[in-house]
Amino acid sequence: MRWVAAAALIVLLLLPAVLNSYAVTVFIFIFFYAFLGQAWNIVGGYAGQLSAGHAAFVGIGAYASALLSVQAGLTPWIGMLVGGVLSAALGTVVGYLGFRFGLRGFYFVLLTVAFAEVCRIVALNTDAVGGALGYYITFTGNPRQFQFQDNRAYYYIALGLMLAATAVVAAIERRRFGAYLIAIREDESACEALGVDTFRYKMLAMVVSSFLTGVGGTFYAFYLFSLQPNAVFGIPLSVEIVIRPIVGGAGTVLGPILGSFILSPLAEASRVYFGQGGWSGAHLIAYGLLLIAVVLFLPQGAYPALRRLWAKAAPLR
Amino acid sequence: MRLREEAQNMRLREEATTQRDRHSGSRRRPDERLREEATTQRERHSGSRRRPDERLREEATTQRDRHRSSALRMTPPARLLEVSGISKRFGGVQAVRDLSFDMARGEVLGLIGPNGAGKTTVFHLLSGFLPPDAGTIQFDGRPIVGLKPHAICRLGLARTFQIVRPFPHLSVLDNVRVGALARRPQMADARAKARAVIDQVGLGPKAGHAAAGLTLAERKRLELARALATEPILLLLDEVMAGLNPTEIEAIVSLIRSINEAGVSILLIEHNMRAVMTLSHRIAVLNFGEKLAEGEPASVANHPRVIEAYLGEEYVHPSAG
Repeated sequence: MRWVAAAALIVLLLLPAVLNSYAVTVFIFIFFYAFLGQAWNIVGGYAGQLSAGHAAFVGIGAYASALLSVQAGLTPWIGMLVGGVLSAALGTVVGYLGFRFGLRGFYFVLLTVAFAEVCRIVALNTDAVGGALGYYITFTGNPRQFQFQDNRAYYYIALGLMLAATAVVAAIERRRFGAYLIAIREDESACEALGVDTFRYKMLAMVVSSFLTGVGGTFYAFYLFSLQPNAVFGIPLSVEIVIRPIVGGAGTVLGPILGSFILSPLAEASRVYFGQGGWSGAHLIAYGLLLIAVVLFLPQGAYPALRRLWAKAAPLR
Repeated sequence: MRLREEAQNMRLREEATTQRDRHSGSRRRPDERLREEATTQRERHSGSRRRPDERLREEATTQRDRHRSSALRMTPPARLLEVSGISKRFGGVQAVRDLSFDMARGEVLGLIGPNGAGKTTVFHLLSGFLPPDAGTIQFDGRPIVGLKPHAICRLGLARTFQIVRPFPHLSVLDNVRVGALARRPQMADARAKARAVIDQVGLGPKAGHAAAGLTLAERKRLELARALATEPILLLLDEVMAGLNPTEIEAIVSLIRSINEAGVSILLIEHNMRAVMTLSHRIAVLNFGEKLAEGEPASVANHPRVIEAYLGEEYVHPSAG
């Protein structure tokens, strides 16, 4: 498997030389959502705490770095860390409320959705951050302000983010932290009886996950240059974040990447196809059907299924 | 009637104590002493088959004990477990009522009684899954009421669940590794320990199998292995023999015995009377949340109230007659 990954990486590094700008943009979204999905994967995939409100962390990171850059002139290269820390702070609050009071399963889901919605409504009604009109960043193209003329720069940054998040997840999986998270997902009470401080490890997963997601928010802000509360805090973004790991394989290192490579092109293709006929947004129908298919036939996601196929094909190789 | 029972209880406990003192040199029963000699012979012949790190840890443990007894104690070391007056009520049901008992290091204490007597509730109270309404619990000289289960496990008190709870999607090895990680934060180290424990309980061939695919007997062993991997001082076993056939029971009885001989104290809930009587140094009997009797297996088995409440007239202890 490893040489496959290495070859794929080399291909990805060389692609911008041969792709047109539109294709580069598609890849940027593949990488970016894979990054967000990978961040979610830590708490949602490995620890099994399904958060459907991760957009809250994207939004906080985005607004924080945008405001700091525009109002205070702070370079987003540092602003992204501030955004990450603020998102981690919110993540701590959400995690504490959920885990301290034993919210499991879909009660935790509801809690995360509630927080994202609160953020959205606060942003909508706070004129200082643009309110319903949104917050805009003037394009300067200055790399020191995390802005680039060339699309390809964003390509490599997004690719770098995706690889960094993947490295974090791989490191977690290799260590006791990862083994504990997986066990917590399987059976929390049994874990407690085996000396695992489940509260502590769930909190840690939540903090790391929300920090990384917050950092992603900066990329979002300085790639799109406009922040709309409904878009950046909304449930559709949370769904985009969650669906990639679930389709690709939650709780695996390559799952979110695979899921993103499946879903982003699918979204683009159906957006183009349906958009032409005036059916924009119909890509969500495609998402829904795909999700149903995954739940019915590949509940563990595409990557574990591929791995099984690969293993079964072993005698033939 | 009641006075006579209390006197009987006191006499039983006194007998138990005196018997224990008489055997104070080796606290084991004759057949066990023979096996101990056989074990030592075996060790002598095969060199010391224990891995270096186990020996090192043993040395570290003994050092720790020495330091503890000299530095912290004016009085002789406390009993391993001292339960004093614990109670637990669930709504209208008094599950455990003013229960007191204790355990010595290295001992196997059997906890028996009819279904609903409160035995598993006692386990929940000891392991921190439920807080007692009243009473204190001292483990290894430390009060543990109010500690969370994972903290109690780290202190050396591990437990199994009556309805086994394997991690279904993980392999046997990964299951046990979670337990081993409690003492060994390095994954490779924990994996090695897990391997060793799996071999010890006889699940070696199944190490790579998913836990969901095991038979009941194998799952019980897995549950036991996982708890054992946390390297406890005291192991709480909740009906590990339920649902097993006689061959499987015999196998698990000798496994438990070997675990105890390796130095782990055991508190055993069990309905299989032969197993309990064979394994236990002492037995405590619960009924309706209260302690009916406590003492050496023979005396408990012949205790009229125990017979009346639980054992039934047909049961005859091997030592009698």
